[in-house]
Amino acid sequence: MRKGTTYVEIPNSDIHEKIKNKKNIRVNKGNYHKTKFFLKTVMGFLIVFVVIVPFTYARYTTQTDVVNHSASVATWSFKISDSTSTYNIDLADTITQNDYSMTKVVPGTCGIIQFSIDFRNTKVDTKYNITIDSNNSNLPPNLKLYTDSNYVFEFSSYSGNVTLNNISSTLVKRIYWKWNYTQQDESSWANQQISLSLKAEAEQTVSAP
Amino acid sequence: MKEKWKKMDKKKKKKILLVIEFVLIFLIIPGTFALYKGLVNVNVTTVAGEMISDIEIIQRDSYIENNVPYFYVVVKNYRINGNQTLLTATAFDYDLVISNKTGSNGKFSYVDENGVSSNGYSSTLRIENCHLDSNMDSNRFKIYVSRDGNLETQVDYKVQIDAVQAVTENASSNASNNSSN
Repeated sequence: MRKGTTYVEIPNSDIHEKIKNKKNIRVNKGNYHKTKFFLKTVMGFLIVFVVIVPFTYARYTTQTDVVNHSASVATWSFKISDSTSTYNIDLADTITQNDYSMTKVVPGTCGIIQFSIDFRNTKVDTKYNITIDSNNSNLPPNLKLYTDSNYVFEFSSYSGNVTLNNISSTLVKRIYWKWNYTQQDESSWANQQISLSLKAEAEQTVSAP
Repeated sequence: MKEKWKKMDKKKKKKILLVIEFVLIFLIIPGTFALYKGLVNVNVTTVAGEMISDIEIIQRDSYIENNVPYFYVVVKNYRINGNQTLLTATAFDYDLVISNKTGSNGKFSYVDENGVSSNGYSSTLRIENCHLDSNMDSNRFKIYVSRDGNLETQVDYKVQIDAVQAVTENASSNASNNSSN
């Protein structure tokens, strides 16, 4: 028995074919990665638009009637004591019991600025914020604003959330003011314009699903 | 550009795409999904009240009583401005001081509307603890002027009022009425 190696002769054309296929495989692998990368990117965008965006920006409540092709959008109304843009109050009209004057604002007088926040025609959850616009306010240094009738807690802002459960009612807010009577001469304020500017802002909120 | 993109490292590509996503989320999309917002300005204004404590001096040549000349000082809590009468916004307590101008040597005494008078003459007359409420009102003081010696001399005087805002009877009565109700 003779031991030896057996050689099978493969035609040159077959070898070329195999090498060609290998190349093809390499080429296809490259395309596969590109496609995968592209698909991943597309998926990323889809996730952003389909999943994240609706959670963040689903702020309209829209009911669509398929038959009639009509849509009703949730209404929005934000009013301060029936005003939608500017509400003016004369501070002298807010004077309450004091020892100095019931008609004019002078040192020693006090009062209550009262206004209602009306969301009754709003059909979405809302947050509000009422702050002092100090750039447009001009108050005597001894005239202070408070949130309580005992003049303990100084007013800086009112804020809160109104949900659909309690949106049907109006909120009444009060700012208590007092021009403290001191030994300081405040004659320079006589006949001067006193102004307090408040910014009442409301914004639709998104509740977690 | 295309070739640059092709040649770019995958990690770099991913980063660029991420940046684009963030731009979309935070800048472009919020513009599309506008939300309801409302702003109401609340303007609280007034003109601070003025304490009016004006003095008026009424002096005539005929104002002589028992050879002693006199004049009136009227303290008023109102001011007439054309057709308009302005009333003080608050009550006030006041002191009146009548004194000589420099170089003058007069002596003064007074009697008020209720007959209250000073004890004798002094070169500086002080009338203290007077009060005017916020109702339209005035106080009138008759000031007698005298001098040492018999020679006719001119007396130059000045009248000064020191007024301080005080508790208004009306306001406090309103307050007590309201509290009792």
